[in-house]
Amino acid sequence: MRKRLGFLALLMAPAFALWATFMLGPALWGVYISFTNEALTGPAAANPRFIGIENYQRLLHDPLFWGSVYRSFLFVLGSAIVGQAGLGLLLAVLTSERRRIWPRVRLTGRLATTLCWLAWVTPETLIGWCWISFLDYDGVLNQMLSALGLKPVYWLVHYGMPSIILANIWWGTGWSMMLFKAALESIPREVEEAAEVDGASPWQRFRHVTLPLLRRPIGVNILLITIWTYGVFGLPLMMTGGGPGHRTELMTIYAYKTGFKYFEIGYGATVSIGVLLITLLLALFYHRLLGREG
Amino acid sequence: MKRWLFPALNHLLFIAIAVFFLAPLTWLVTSAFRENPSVWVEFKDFTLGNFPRVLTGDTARWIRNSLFIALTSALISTGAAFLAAYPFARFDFRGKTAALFLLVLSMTIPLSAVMLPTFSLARFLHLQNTLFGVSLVIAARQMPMGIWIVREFIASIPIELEEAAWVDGASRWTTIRRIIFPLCGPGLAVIGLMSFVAGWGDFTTNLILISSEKLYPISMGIYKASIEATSWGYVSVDYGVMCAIGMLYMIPPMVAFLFTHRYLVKGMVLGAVKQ
Repeated sequence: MRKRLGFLALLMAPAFALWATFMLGPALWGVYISFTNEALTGPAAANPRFIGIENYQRLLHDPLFWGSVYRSFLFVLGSAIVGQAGLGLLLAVLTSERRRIWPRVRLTGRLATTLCWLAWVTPETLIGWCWISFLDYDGVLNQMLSALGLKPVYWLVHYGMPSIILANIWWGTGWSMMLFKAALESIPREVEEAAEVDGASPWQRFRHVTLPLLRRPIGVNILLITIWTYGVFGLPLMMTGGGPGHRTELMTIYAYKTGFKYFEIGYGATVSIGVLLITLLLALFYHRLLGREG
Repeated sequence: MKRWLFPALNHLLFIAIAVFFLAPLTWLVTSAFRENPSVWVEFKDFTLGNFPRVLTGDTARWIRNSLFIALTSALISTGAAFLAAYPFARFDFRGKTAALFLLVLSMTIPLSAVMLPTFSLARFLHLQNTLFGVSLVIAARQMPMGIWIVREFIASIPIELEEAAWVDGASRWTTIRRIIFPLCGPGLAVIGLMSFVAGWGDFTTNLILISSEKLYPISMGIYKASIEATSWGYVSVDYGVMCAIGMLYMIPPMVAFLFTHRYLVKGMVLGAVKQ
């Protein structure tokens, strides 16, 4: 018995060591340094001091932090909940092979879903590169506008938030689409056929039969993409860098700037705890939804 | 009227969506095949010459570094997740539920929420500015999903196969190596590909850990080039090579996700679908 336990522990040791060091470790360490005045430069760099809840008091009265909380919320609402889940559901329902809610439109539907999937597999920095080339003052969108005789616009400057929201919709919709498609396929065909026999119109069938059955996967997925979208960092950093001013500064970008640009590691960690807390709350919720099945 | 109206509207909608997903790629794709491309989308001076140039100079080094990160993180995470998944699939031990709970919970911690402590930790462990440090962070972040998926694969292997071997005197370690390992090959391939893609496309880990330009992977190269291009104008960046490497950069994740996205969907949500 004891030998077996030792064997089990040995099997799990590498994974546990990795996970504890690089996933749990940073989270806990982050909590610790949020109570210190650690900095990258200056006197506090050599020997950081424990300063209690000073950072948290500062956080509560930091308008830049609350501004970033608001912007992150807008970013999640616009790009994940409305954009990715909405567009993903639309694409999944319209192209679903099995149910004829809509007349099937094969070729164009394939094209749209394939391109949507392609966007999802594109690496983050390349998405940034492409979207900058698209929205820059000399970019593709302005070239199209001027071809139509319209004035070019500084999209990334004057419409920063809509720009990063749109780019994130572009990036993430593929995931939701695939997921909703898989969920649609898992609904027994008979359910909808029964409704069809009873004379329900396509819209009625979707609204009163399919959609209620999809409620759970939709809920779980919205939770999941909300969590992910709160953590999105590289793409908006690349596109706008939080600017102009602070107008596109999400929580993650504010935490990064505090730590790596203004070199206040302690306070930067405190800002990150904000992201971490929101994520953890949502994650607990996610686990409950997922765990109900056993 | 409805008979043609609905399909027509449907076509229109699909085309609009396709245009939305295609538009940001137009400049990348056209410029990759053009000689001395500008910031404009133009259909002239086409060439394939940018692609061989990718394999020389800085871009070649970026590719090597990206490959190193992707391969090592794939190897490390596959090995570790495989070993750890076995006890989770075959044994009931105290704290198993709690461990699985913590795994799922930690799966959702975004790296961007722990950037600073990860940086401090890497500095403390002397892993800052090393490619191996980046691989370790990426591999660790694949652990929860990896264990989760491999566990399902192992659980689906009938225990009778192992029992027969034990009767013949084989040890547990032998059955793990000889029976379980080959049979969950597909599961390991999924984890390996997932980690490979994560390492290949990673930006945030590199941004916080890597400062030396010699160690830049493709993502950092593109990031720095975009900063240069937007701050000093396009003369400072070789757009032809950058767009060519951008296109090559997309190929590995495309291929990998073709095989893995179904398992990802299943692992993350479909557990919640079959009620």
